[in-house]
Formats: sequence, structure tokens, C-alpha cells
Amino acid sequence: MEPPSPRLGAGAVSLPRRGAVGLLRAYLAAGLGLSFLFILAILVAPAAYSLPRGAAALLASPHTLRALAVSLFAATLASSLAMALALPAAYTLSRWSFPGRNLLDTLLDTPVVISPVALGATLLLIFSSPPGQAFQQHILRVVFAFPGVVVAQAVVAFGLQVRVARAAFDAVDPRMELVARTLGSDPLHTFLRVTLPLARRGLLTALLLGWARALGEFGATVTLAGATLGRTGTLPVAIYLSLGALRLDEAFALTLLLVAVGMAALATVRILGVGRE
Amino acid sequence: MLEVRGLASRVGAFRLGPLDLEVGSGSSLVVLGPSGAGKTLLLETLLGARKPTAGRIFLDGEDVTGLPPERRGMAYVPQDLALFPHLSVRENVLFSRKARGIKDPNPKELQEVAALLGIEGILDRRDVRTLSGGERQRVALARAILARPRLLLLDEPFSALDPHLRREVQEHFRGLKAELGLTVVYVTHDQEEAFLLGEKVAVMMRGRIAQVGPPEVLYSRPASLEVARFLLVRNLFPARVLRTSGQEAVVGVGPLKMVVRAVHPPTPYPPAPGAEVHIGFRPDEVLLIRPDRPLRPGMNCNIYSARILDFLDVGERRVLILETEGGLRLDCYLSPRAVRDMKVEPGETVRFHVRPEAVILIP
Repeated sequence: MEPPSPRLGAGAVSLPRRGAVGLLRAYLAAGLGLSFLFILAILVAPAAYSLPRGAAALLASPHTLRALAVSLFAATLASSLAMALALPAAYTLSRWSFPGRNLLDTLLDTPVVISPVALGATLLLIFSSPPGQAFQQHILRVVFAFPGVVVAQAVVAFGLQVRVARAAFDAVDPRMELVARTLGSDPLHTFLRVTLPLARRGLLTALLLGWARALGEFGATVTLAGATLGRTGTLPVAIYLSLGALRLDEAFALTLLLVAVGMAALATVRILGVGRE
Repeated sequence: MLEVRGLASRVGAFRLGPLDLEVGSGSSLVVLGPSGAGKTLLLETLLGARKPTAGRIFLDGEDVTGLPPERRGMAYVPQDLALFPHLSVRENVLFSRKARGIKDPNPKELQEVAALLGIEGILDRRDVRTLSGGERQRVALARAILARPRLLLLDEPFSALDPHLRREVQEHFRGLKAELGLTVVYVTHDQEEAFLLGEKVAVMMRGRIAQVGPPEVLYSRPASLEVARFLLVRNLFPARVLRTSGQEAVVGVGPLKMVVRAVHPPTPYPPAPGAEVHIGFRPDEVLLIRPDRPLRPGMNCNIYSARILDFLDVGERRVLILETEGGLRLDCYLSPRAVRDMKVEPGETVRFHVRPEAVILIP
């Protein structure tokens, strides 16, 4: 038998190595600490600025409540509509195998990677084309109107939802579905009684993340639906208009409101995600 | 009764079949094969999760090849059992009835099957994840049985259990199968399980059925070298037939001569003198001869002397690695008791005997 070869790197090089590990640890800790401080600043700054300047009164104004109502209503409608499309798309991509699936899968990410302003401009172009105009004349006015807000937000939310929903369906073992089928359950019953309940948490997360994304949407919304306070003025649009008019107290009070609603959505996702495990 | 005729399927470059299988009503078949042999693909094709490229599947005479899984009357217990984690034990077990729109939460059938499987006490458990391995196993079986299937398909059903629990559940299931008259197809890579459960075993290799037969025939007469290797016949040697008479043949293995007496003779048998064959015998058939005692009656052939090369301790038994005069290396299993009684040290010379009936001749 050959004698064991001496192990390299065991003794002599350990000192500089320990230094490198220490450095790496410091980098990791600093990264986490700074990220946390940064996020904390984002949360605290609008509160610190606007609370002493009468944010409560500003937020109670009919003007603000109107923007909040438009935002909540639009985001809820948009994320629900987008989810209605994302659900079958995600399930099909997760379960069916067909030529071009990977291409389609990649294309569905388009709304996530395109700049919202560009997306809004593209939507504007589509609804100004002859078929788009026909749609607007006979069915629903979209451009510079409330439905435009919903369409813009839905497109943005969809990209996120289809991704999260697909991951939720991917996590359901197809064997569960096969076993259900062999127990006499038809495809619809199997989907409703096995797939959907097992993917439930991921799908709710998709819905809520889409909702939060729609709530914060600005670029596509303002491009397609314009910025008419009262009708298409969502919270982000209102913030933009206040900033433009140099009404900083109002702008940061609205920011505080938006941050609070977003945080509530995140907390809900968190509770749903961890709750049943 | 299950009849499979010319069934073929494929996934990517892997081809299954064409293959034929037959399982009589109330009997069982074990599909035994190494991983990657296509066992899971066969299961999925039988269940209707994959379309076959050719062939037909008949269940009790009905052609079910084109039917969806829910209308085949085949219940399936996968390796990981696939209990529904969002349902209680009772809801899991009654799933097939709910799927058919039957709502009764405590039918007579449930009580009967629960009693047979000993799961009455855990029916109202909310979370199936709190069950023990053996309980999960029995719940999965109860769920499948309550679907009243014409055929039950089990994929490595007992492999996840502890060895002692495993034997118990296997034996319990054997009794259950007989009592309920279930027709069962098992799929496994574990020989011991296959031989314990199957009235018939089909050895599957590279997508094909290499051999089908009762366990004892497979054990004593593997049809090919590949099957023999898979069934762990350790001592396999190329040999040449020297002469034959009746059921006996004398073969030359290197410089040694060995008498073979076929118990389950392959056809044609005996092979023609001069034929190139393989012979094999299991390590537990290599009997060491104690130097201090007279030969037992009947030990009048197949006696060789060999040197002990090595000695391994593998738990329940000891493995001796022997080298004969002609340079054949072979394994011999000894019980710890035999090791105590005899002097077996590397370098020692011993004599051993192989019964002619224990020698497997592979054409």
C-alpha cells in the first residue's frame, strides 16, 4: 500500500485563511446590517417627516381618501383579473409538456423585465391601433380612464403572479394527482380537491404579491391612464402630483400611507406562508 | 385478472417493452429489477398516466388501454405513499368514495377495512404527518383497498419501513391479500421482498422482462447471465460441457471438473457435449469440509481444496474468499458458529464441497 500523501494546506496556510474567513464574516454581517438599516430608513423617513407636520389631518382629507379608494379598488380588481389568467397559464406550464413550452415560459416574464413606462407606452400603442380603438369605442374606454389603471396594473401583476403560481404548482407532487385519479377522481375533482388545496399557500402568496405590486404601480398606469385626480389618480400618482406641486407634507403623508398598506400586505404573505407549517 | 399484450412505451431515449404479463385473479406478480430498468414507466403506463406506443392492457377481459386512470379500476400505492397532507386520516381513507359522490363518513366497509388493518384508533387523526411509518403504510393500503380496485399496484411498498417493522407489515399484507382476494402487482428492486411476496416474479432489465417464473425457479435457474448476476449468484464461471448422462452433466471449469444435476433444467437439457456455458452457485452452497470428521454420505463428487485469501465479517455472516488449485476465486458464506468451530485464517488450506443440485447451469 502507498503511504498516505501529506495533506496540503493543513498547518502552514491556516493563518492567512483564518484571516480571510474573518473578513468574509465581517462582509456578510455588514451586508445584512446595512441592508436592514437602509430598509429601516425607508420605513422611518416618511413617518419622521410627515407625522410632526400634520400627516393625520392630510390623510383624512377627502382628496387622499379618494386616491386610497381608487388605489385599493384598482389593485384588487387588477390582481384578481390577472390571477384569473395566471392560474391556468401557470398550471398548464407546470403540468403539460408541449413544443415551445420553454419559449412561452420565458415570454411570460416579459412584463417583469420591461420598464413600466415602456410597458404603458406599448399598451397605449395597442389601444390606439384600429382593433384597439374599436374595442374602446364599442366595449370599454381604456386610455386616460379608470379601466386603463386596471389594465396597466393587471399586466404588471400578471408577470409576477404567473411566476409565483407556477412555483406553487411545481411544488405539488404529480403523484398525488395520479393517486387521486386512480382512486376514481376525475381531473376536475382532482384539481379542486388535491392540487388547489396543496398549492393554496403559494397561490395566495401570488395573489397578494400581485396585489402589492399593482398597488405600487406608477409608470405604466400614468402612461396609459393619465393622472386625473379622482378618476385615475392612484396613491402613487397622487404622490407624484404632490411632489411636482412642491406640496411635500402631502407627498410624504401619502408615501407613509402607501408604505403602511404595502407592509400590511407583506405581513399577510408572511403569516400565510409560515402559519400552517 | 390482468393481461398485458405487447405493451410498449418510451420516455426520451428509454424504451419499455414490448412486453407481456399475466396476473390471475387473486394472485400476485412481482416486477423485480434494478433501478433504471423501467419499472416506474411500466407502472405509469399500466395506470394510464402515460400513453403506450403499442400494445393493449386488459383487466378482467375489458380493454382498458384507452381509459383514463379514474376509470381503470386500478388502485396505486406509490413508494412515498402520497397520503394527502391536507386531509385527515378518515378523509384520506374515504377519498375514493367522496370522489364518487358518496358522503357517508363511517360506512360499514370503512369499519371492516380499518379493523383488518388495525387503524380504527387513528381514523380521527387530523394530520397524517403525525403518523408513524407503519401507520402511514396501513392508511395508504386502506385508502387503496376502499376504492375496491380490480388490481392493486404497489411501488416498493415496504422499502421505507424499518427492517423489523417491514417483515411484520409484509406478512400482515400477505394475509390481507389472501383474505380479500386481491390481485396485486408489486414493483421492487429488493429480491428478498420479491421472493417473500410474489407467487410469480418477473425480472425486468433494460425495459424488457428478462424472465418470469415462481421464485424457486428463478432462484435455482436464472435464464441468463444478466439475471443471474442481478439475483446475486456470486460464483459465476465460464464452463464447457464435457459429457452428459440423464439429468447429469459434467462440466470443466478451468482445470476443475464439476458435476451438475439440474433441478429445474433449462431447455434444451442436457446441453450437447462441447457446449460453452456458464455455471454458478451461491456462496451459501459452498460447504467447508471439517478435516477432523468423515465425509457425509452423498459427498462423493465436487470436492476441491482451496486456500483462504481473505475473511470478511459482514454482520450476520462471515465471507471467506477462496482460491482453488486452478486459480478460481469464489465466495463462501459461513455462520459465526461455523467460524468458531473451525480454524479459518487467511493462508490456511481448506476443502469444500458443492452439491451437484446447487450448481446452476446457464446456457
